[in-house]
Amino acid sequence: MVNKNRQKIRRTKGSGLAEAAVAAIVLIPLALGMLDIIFIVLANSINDTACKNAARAAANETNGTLAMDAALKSLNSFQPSSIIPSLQLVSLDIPPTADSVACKTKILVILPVPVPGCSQITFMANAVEPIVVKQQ
Amino acid sequence: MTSLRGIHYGARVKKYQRQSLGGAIALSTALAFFLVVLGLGFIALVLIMGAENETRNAVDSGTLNLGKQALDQVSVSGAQDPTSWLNGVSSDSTDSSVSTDGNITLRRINRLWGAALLIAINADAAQNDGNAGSGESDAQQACQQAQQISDNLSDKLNQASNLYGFFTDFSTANSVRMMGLGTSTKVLTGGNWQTSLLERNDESNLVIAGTPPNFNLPPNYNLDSSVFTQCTRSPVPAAAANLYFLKGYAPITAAGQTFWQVPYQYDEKPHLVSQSTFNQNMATAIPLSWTKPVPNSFSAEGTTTKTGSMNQVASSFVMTNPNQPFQLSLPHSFLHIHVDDMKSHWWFFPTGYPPLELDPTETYGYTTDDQTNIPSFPGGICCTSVTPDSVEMGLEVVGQPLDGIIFNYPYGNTSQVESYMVNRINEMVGAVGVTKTASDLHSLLQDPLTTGELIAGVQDFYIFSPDGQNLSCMPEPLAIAKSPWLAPLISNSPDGTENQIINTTDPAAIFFDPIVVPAPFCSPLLELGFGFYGKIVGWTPGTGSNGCLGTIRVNRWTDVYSLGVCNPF
Repeated sequence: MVNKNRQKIRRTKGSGLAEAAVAAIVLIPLALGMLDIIFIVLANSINDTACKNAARAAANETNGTLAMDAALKSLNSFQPSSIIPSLQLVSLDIPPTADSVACKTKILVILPVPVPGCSQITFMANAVEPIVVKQQ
Repeated sequence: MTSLRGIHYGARVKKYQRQSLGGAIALSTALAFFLVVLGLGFIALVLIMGAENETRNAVDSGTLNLGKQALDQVSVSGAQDPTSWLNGVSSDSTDSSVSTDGNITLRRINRLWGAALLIAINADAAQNDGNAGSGESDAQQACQQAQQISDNLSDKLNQASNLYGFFTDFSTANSVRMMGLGTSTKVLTGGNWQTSLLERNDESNLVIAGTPPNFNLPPNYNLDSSVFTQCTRSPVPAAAANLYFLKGYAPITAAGQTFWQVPYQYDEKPHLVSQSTFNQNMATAIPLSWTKPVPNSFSAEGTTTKTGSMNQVASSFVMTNPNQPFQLSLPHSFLHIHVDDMKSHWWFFPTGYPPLELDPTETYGYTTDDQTNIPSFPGGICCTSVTPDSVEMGLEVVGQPLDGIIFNYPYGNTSQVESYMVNRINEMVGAVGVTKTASDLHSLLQDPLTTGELIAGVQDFYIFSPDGQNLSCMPEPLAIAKSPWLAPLISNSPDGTENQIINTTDPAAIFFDPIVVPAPFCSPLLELGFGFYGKIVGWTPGTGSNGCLGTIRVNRWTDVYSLGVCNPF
């Protein structure tokens, strides 16, 4: 009788471990997924800021060539990392009226927790700034 | 057979098992829930922070555009009258030939006040010389006109609703996607749309040509050092190193009136400023004696437009700057030169002394002309008659351009005439950094065309700047053809009174033997004919309130003396 009870105790202890494992299968991906989402949001914020800075720098120049140079220069402060390996200027548009600059940047995010079929994502950001200098 | 102890033990184990199973599930569920909530909360926080950043960017962009557009898109009328001095400053160009639109904007406001100030300075200078005429009252009226327009502009700029559109144009163009798709940043109306008066006592965008303290202003008029400054930027841009500017938000007094300027640092652009700087310089914080100061800084507030959720609000502050200097000038103005008919006066010595003008005057021109006159009875001492011989007139003016007519022999105080004229030609020139010297004046007046025009009988010439940089001196029809803006102004007279700066006579190269008929029983003793050239140059100052900066009147004549003395013995 005592031996049967002891066997039952051992089976109970084993089921607890299994339950913990099952819980972990749910909880850990959940946590890692949220981590991915947080990184995505932060990366977008970085992209937005970089895009705005590029547009603002371009809007302070007197012609398209200088504007492009200024925009590229403003992105030089970006330091690539394993999670965000690249941040690029996609386009810099100055309309014929030369009253604004529309800047578009692209950021590549490698998810810290890879998702099958989606380990890296590209995000775009747009910014429009008024040109405050006389165009030559 | 199961013992009682075994049954109790088994029951405890089963109870223990049931308790363990329930605890693990509950704990896992609670942990999962907690993790999800924490994670979602953190994500939401990051999204909100990102949205806050995006909102701030959008508001900054909208506010920057507001600062830029407020310079030119907010305007007041009042300068359309082409006969008024106001019309000349209602343009963004210093080129007088560019058409004006009659509107005053933040870009042009300093031109307006500057022109009114120049009118007042001209009036004060004339007052000091004692020939202001109606100049002082005209200057006061000009100041009131400038004040009225300035007040209207201030009212418009302080009306926030006039600026909303400039803000929205750019705030909505920047996405706030972290708040959700379709969200944008729009105007948040309210008390956070304010104006401020930054960079007080820094330079305005109105350059004063010349060097202190006279600055090519009327002779003997000096600007007080409290009203002008050099560039206050550090380091000073090379192009501004030698420039002087009127001070902004500092009262400038002339003709009993107060004039103002809005400060715009040299070569600056519209830019964002800090809230503390903005608030510290608001008119409510540090009032000016300017009743309705024209602001150079604006604050704006925007909010996101997502319904049913917490919206972001952000403010931004911008200081505007036209990044375009002008020069203190009266763009649509002119200087009138009038040359009177030249006359010959015939003098005789019937009683010995003084001589008497007994013969009628005659007129001569800019080519030589042999003249004589009728006999004068008795004409001389112990003479029956004295008749002047043929005298060649016009030797002093033949072949001379207008410069020679004004400045050549007989001379007189030509330097003073020159000073007034140089001052006035500088007041016409609006191109920044361009100054005119006495040499430029004489080069202008030495135009050979003026010689031909004088010979042709032209008596009125007009000096004006057709492009704000160069000068022309022409008769009326040609002047109007070159600068049509002169047409409604050219017949205006200066508002001062004439002061004869030069009134001189000097010996002329005229020698002849008059024909002397002695009285009965007398014989000719002395027959001497000689001449003098005379010149009057009068200066009538004009403030420029009607376009006329003044009139130089030149009056030349020749005195011909016929001295006849006969001996009765």
